[in-house]
Amino acid sequence: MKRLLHFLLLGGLLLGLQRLTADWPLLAAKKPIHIGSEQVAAVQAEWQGALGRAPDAAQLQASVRKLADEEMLVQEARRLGLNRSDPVARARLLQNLRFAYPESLQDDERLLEQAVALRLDQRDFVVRRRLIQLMQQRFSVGAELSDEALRDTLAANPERYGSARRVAFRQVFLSADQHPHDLAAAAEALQTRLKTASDADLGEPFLGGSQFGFSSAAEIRKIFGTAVAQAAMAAAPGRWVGPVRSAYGLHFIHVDAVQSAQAPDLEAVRQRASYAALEQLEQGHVEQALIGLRHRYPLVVDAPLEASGAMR
Amino acid sequence: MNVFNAACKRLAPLLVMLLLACKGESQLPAAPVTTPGPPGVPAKHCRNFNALRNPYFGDLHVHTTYSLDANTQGTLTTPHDAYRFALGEKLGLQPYDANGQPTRFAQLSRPLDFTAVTDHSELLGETEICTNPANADYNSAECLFYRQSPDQAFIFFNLFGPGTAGVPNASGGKSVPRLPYCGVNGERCLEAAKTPWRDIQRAAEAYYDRSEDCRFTTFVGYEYTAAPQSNNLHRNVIFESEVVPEIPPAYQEYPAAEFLWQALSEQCQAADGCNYLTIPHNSNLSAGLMFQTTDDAGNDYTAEFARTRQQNEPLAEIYQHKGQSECLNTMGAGSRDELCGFEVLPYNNLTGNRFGGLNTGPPMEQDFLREALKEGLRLEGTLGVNPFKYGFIGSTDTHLSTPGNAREENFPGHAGAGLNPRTGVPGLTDVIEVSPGGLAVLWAEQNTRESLFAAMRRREAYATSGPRMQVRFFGGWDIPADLCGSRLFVEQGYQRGVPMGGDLPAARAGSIAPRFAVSALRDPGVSGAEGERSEPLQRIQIIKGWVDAAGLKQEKVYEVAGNPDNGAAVNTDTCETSGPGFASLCTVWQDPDFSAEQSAFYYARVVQNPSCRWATYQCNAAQVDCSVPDDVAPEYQSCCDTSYPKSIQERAWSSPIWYRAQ
Repeated sequence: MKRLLHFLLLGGLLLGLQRLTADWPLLAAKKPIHIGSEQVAAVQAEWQGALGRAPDAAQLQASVRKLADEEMLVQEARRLGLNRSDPVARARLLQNLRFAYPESLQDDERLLEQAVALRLDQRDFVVRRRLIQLMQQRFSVGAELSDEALRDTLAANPERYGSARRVAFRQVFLSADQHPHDLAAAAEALQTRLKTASDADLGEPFLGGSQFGFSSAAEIRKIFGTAVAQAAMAAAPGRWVGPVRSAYGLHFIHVDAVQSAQAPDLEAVRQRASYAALEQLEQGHVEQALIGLRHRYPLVVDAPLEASGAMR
Repeated sequence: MNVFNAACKRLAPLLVMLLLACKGESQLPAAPVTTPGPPGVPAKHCRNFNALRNPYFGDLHVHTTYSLDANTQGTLTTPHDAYRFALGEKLGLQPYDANGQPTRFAQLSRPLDFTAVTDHSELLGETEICTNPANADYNSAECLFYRQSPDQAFIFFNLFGPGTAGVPNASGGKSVPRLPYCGVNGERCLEAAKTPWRDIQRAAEAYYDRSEDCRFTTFVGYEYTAAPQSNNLHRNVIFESEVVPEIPPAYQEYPAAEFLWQALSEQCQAADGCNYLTIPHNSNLSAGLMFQTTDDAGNDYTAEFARTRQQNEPLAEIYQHKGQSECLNTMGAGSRDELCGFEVLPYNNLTGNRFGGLNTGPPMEQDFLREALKEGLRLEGTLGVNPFKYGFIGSTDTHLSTPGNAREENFPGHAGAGLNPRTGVPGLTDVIEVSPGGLAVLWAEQNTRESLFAAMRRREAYATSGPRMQVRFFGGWDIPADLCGSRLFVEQGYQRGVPMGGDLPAARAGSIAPRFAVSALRDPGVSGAEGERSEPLQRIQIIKGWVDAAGLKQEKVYEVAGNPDNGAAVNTDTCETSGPGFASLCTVWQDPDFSAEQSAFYYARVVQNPSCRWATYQCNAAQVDCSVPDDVAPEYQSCCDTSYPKSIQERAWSSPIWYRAQ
């Protein structure tokens, strides 16, 4: 009885270990990724196409590394059987074979075997992409976000998460179209009248409006262009400034009130900042996982990249 | 399949019980929903709330690495990247250097106000939850049910799926935040089961500014990619809130627009806080299908079907990378409209020039919106409902995650169709016929999802070919003839008329003809080193379409403001512009040919002075000299293709205002 118990325990342990290590690339046999001269030439052509020049040695090396990483993810996904178990990959492979052999009476499993034998799971770009995506998703799981990381995200992006400085203002407008020759003189006359008359009746109508609630520099710039936005943000409240030139003519600006900028409030933006930070964190996780995986899939370049044919 | 069948058998009784339970439970507890205000009058939330509405500039058609055609062309940028780009942050594009850093960059000199990432749902939607056997929920009752009976699956999804009840209150710093849509049984929504669709939702949540600053709005969306025989019937589906279907209904399961609308109406119900609309695009490439007058089964439109289409599709995309879909200039009075020559693709479906043009033909007038709007009036005459009642937006359709990157000066290519930047030849960044695309502009009280979505619904929207001109367009029976001189142009426009996208009320006794007030400001541009040049306006036109007493479709283009012969020009060797133009244009126009018996639509086209087309900038930079053809490198041969103009006139298209004869 005791022996049987030991046998079962040991057996269970071994089974567990086997299960554990099946997913452990380090213990699996090494399987080099070969990059041939044709692929290297394609990488060079890609650079030439996008930038109009060939990559230097380091750039070529990095591009080849990226290519190899993708191949590595495809191989790893195949090792884990995702090429057969993932429904999207399956559907695509079956679709391909049923298209190629419309008369075939074979069942799905046989066709799938055939597809794998034909290496369609490595060559079909939909399946490749799907397998790469699945692996990346696997690697990104488990990223945990600390408050500290979240604060770093906020500190790095004060404009994204903080409140912009805002001004409430009025404007009086002189249209360049209506004053093709006397714009400066009209502005001078207007400046004098602004000191005494109500601005509501002065100047010309402007489609964008004459009275504005609390607006940020970006919001003002959208309506008036850069110069008016800068003038409004710089103006001291309670007096007219200008004229300021825009694409439309001249503007006099009167800031009525100011709301100062506010630094990001962690609690107020926690959720959305978390989502953004998490995405960055996950990218790091994927990168770490790739580094681990490269031990199992050493890269062999079968083309002269530089003096030596192999890269690390 | 064996496992599947076995599981089905085991769980079949449970399924039946659940289904019966659903049917018996007519009073399902509704998920808590924030009741929106009355249509068009949202509660004030943002600091720059404006009851008279602000123009918000955005892009509703954006692809990232999750789109197959983008990914296979080397696009690795994500929905997060797309939103950061829209916010004005610099985005790196492939190829990558020794440190994995991108070597090309793009940046907007002006951030957008809103953006929807719309990756293709095909190969994205039908994945993890219910179709991946590795997923723990693969054999859950609702998934079995989904796979067996997708039509009824909404019952389950209403029970278990979307809903706002489970919004987590993130308090600790350690836990991975969940998406707001996680339902009563939130565990299933853990990020461990992340999929592209969930990542897309999470990115939308990450960059939607819910604070009173209202800096930027995101929409969860996707592209429904129907293209039978490469004929484009694509739609962008835009959701109003974070409550969206578990799986975006895709073409495989719903192979016609009416099936898509049916699926959305079932899986995205207003009672749960889910609202949607669909925006067709590139009707120019549908080979006559986008506005055909029968349903998928070949039946003629019924009033009900027409109503369904109108309700689901208030807007159409009139311009993007793959050309304009406004008008073709081949039929009737349209042949006098030379501005229809703007960015016309020379083929009629997505096959384009591949395979020597074997699977395509010349573009067809019926695929263009002006003709479709006329057809809509004709159908309204017989059905009582207009199925093709479209307002207009523009967008890019970028496959580089670069929303709003619509300037001619630095077009990095489409990266979906056209040239593949991954293996492209040195030379133009894309095939000569594509272009940088445009923008969507929405008139809304504030920059929130609710307010912008309401603007889309009522079609208070316009398209631009890239520049940021402001366009107001009102129509009414007693709009003052001197409205342009008034400081109350906008107030009066709303009080005494309807804005773009609206319907003229019934004519009053004694009314002679409706008046239309149109006012436009040129793009103010951006000054400074990182600036953005802009051109003045040249003119405004009003385009009228109607069906005459004989049942014939008619159209007329009226020059209503500015000067088409102002002498403005561009030197295409240097791209320097010259000649006068207008900083603003405004007029009140009364239809001189109005007939109360004829239904009609009217839209405004605001036209800039000429400027260089994107390829001209690139050809000039490469010093291509077409006078010596033998010296032109093969990769720049397109520079000398005279079937494409070297200059363009950028423009804005307002949504129409409709008049319905009684």
